[in-house]
Amino acid sequence: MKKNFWKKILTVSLLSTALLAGCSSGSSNASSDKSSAKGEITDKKVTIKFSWWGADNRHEAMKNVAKLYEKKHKNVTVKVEYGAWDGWQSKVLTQLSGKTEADVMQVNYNWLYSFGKGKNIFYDINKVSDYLKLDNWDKTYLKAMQVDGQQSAVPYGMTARVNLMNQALYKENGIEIPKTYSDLLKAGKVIGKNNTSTGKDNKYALINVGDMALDLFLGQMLYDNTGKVMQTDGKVNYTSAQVEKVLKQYKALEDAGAMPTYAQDSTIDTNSNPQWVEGRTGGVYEWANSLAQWTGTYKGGKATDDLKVSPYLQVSESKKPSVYVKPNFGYAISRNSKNPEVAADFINFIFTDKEAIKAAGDALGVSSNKVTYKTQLKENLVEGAVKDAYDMFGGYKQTVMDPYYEDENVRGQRYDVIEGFRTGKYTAAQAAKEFISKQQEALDKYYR
Amino acid sequence: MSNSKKIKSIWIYGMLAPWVIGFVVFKVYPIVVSFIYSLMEYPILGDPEFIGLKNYIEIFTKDDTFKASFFATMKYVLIGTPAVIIVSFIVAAILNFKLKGVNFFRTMYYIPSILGGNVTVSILWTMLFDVNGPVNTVLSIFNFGGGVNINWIKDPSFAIFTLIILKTWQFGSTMLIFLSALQGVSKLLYEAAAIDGASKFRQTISITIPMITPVILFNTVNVLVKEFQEFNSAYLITKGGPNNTTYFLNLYIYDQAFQNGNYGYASALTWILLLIIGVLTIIVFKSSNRWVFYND
Repeated sequence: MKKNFWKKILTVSLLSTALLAGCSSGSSNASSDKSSAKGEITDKKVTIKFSWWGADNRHEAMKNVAKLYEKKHKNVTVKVEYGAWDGWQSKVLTQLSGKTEADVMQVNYNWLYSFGKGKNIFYDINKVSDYLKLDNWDKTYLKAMQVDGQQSAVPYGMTARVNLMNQALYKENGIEIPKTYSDLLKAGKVIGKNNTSTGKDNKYALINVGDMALDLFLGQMLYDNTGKVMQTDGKVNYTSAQVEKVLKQYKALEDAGAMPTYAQDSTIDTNSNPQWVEGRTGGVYEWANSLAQWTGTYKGGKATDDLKVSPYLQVSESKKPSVYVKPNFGYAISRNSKNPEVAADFINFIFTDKEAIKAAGDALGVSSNKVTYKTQLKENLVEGAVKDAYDMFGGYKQTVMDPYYEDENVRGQRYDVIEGFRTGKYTAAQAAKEFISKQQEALDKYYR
Repeated sequence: MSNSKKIKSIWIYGMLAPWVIGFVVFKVYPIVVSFIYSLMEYPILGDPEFIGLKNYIEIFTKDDTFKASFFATMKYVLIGTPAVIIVSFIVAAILNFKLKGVNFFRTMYYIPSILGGNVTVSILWTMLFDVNGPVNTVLSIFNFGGGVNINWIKDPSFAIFTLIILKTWQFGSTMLIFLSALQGVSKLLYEAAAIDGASKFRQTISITIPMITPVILFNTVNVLVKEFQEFNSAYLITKGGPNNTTYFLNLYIYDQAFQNGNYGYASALTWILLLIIGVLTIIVFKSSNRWVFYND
C-alpha cells in the first residue's frame, strides 16, 4: 500500500514537473555573432542586463547611456537594474550565487578578490578583447583588476577619499580651513564651542558620514602617522602602540568638538545627512568621484560656492602624505552571460562613444580610459568639485589600496573595534590590540 | 480496485502533488542541505569543502560576535515576548467591552502589525526615537528637573529597548487572537461570579485568564518564534549596533551568508538558532502542563 502510494505521488510529481518544464519558454537570448552584415553587433534580438549602484545623478546618466546604446543597436535591449550602495553588495553576491546576475555589472574593486577568495569569478575579458578595446587603458590600471591571471573587469578610473570643505562655516567663524590634524582640532574648539552632548544644532569642523568614511579616515591617519599601509600580503603592518596613539589623537578630535562623538553622529549616513545638508559641518571626507552627489544635497544644491576641495590633512605642515587610492569601480561581464560579446561591446560603448560619455557626465568620475578621458577633457564634462578633487589628489604620491582593505570580513572587524572604542567599551589600548588581532584573524582566512 | 476508485485516488494524489512537491523542494531540501552546508567551509562563490564540526566548534569557542549576538537575541526575546503578550491581552480585554466605535479602534490597533518592520516604519522610528525627537520631548514633560536626553538608538543600554517597543507596538495579530478567545468565554461564568460578589479584577484573574490559557500558549509560542526571527528592525534602524547590542542572530546569519559570503558558517549558525528556538519551545510546551487549562 505504502509503496503504491509513493509510486503514485512520484508519478504525478514527475508529470507535473514535466508539464511545468514544457510550459517554460525557450531562451530569449540568442547567441550573438561577431557582427552582422549591417555592421550590427548581432543580427538577432538580444537582451542584456546592466546593473549598477549609485545616487540619483548616476541612475539618470546610466539610463540615458543604455538608451543611447539601444538607439544605435536596434537588435539589443538593455535592461537596467540599479540602486543605492546600501545593501547592493549583498544583492550582487546573492545574484552571483544564484546565477541571476546582470550581464554587465558595475563592480567594486575588492569584490574581484573577496568574492572568489583569490579566484576570478567573472568572465575573462581577454576573451572578448575584439569587442572591448583593452589598449585604451594603461597596463597598470588593467592590472589592478586582474585576478588569477584573468581580466576580471575593466576599471572606470581611480578614486580617493578627499575633504570637501564648507568654506562658509569656516569664514563665519573667522578661521582658515585646516591644513593639519592639529589645525582641525583647533578649528573644532571654535566651531563647536556651543555644542552640547547631543544638541541638534551642533556644529563640527569635519564629519565622517558612516562607518566606511570613519574607517578610511582613521586608515589615512594611521598611514600619515606611521608611513606604513594597513596591510601587506595578509599581514597587518601596525603595532598596538602605533594604533593606540592614533586612536587617542582621533578621540582628542571628538573631545574638542572637531568631529562628532558616537552619540552625536547622525543616524542618516548618506548624502542626506542633516549635519551636511544644513551646513552644520565644516566638511565631509568622501570619494572624489561621488562629490557631485554631495554638492547636490548641500543646502539643496543652491550654495555650491560655499564648497571647496581642500588639501589632505597632514601630521605636520612639512610632511606631505601619501594617499590611498583605488579603482573607483569597474565593469565586469557575467560568466553566465549568453551574450558576452554584446556585453563587451556595451562596455566599450560606455567608454568610447562620445554621446555616451557626454551622457554619463561627471556621474562616474574621471576615467582612466584614454578615450573617455580625452573626451571628458575636450567637452569639459568633469567640472566643479569632482574635477577639483581629481586635480588635488593627483598632486599627491598615491598608494593603491590592498584589495582586502575593504573586504567585509576584514573591515567589519575594524568597524566593531572602532565602535567599541567610541562608545567606551574599549580603552585606546584595548581597542588597538583588538584592531590588530581581529583584523589579522580575518586576513588569515584568505591567506592561510 | 475498481476503475472509479482508481480515478478518485489519482485525482486525490494529483491534488496533493503540488503541495508535496513544494514541501519537498522548498522546505525539506533546504533544511537537509543547510545541515550539510553547516559541516562545510562553503564560500558563497567557491567550492565547498567538508570540515566536519569545525564551524560549530569555532562558533562556540572563538566567535565573540556570536556570543554578543546570542545574548542580544535572548534579551530581545525574553523581554519582548512577555511584553507583546501582556500588551496585546490588555488591549484585547479593553476592546472586548461594548464601547462606541470599538470596531474603529480594533482596526487602528491592528494596522501597525500590517505595516510590519518596513523601511517607512524604520524611518518613523528613527525620527521618533532620535535624541532630539518627540519621544524625549514627551518624556521631558514628566521630568520636572529638566529635559530628557536619552539616546535611544545610539546608547548601548537603550537601543534594544527601542526595538522591543517597536515590536510590541505591532501587537495587532496577537491581540485579534486574544479578542476572539475572550469572546469565546462563556458569559454564564461571569454571571455566576458576579452573583458570588467577584470584582472585575477577580473575574479576570479567576475566569478569563484560565479560560484562555490555551490561546496564551499558542500566542506565546508564536510570538517567541517570531521574536527569534527578528531581522528588519535591527537591519534598518540600528544595523546591529551599538556594540552588537542589537545584533540579532538572524542579522548575523544574513551578514555571514550574504555580506561576507560564508554559506557554511551561516548554515551552522542557522542550525544553532533552530536548536535554541526548539529547546525554548519545548520548555514552554512542557511547562504548559502546569498552567494551561483545557476545557474538555
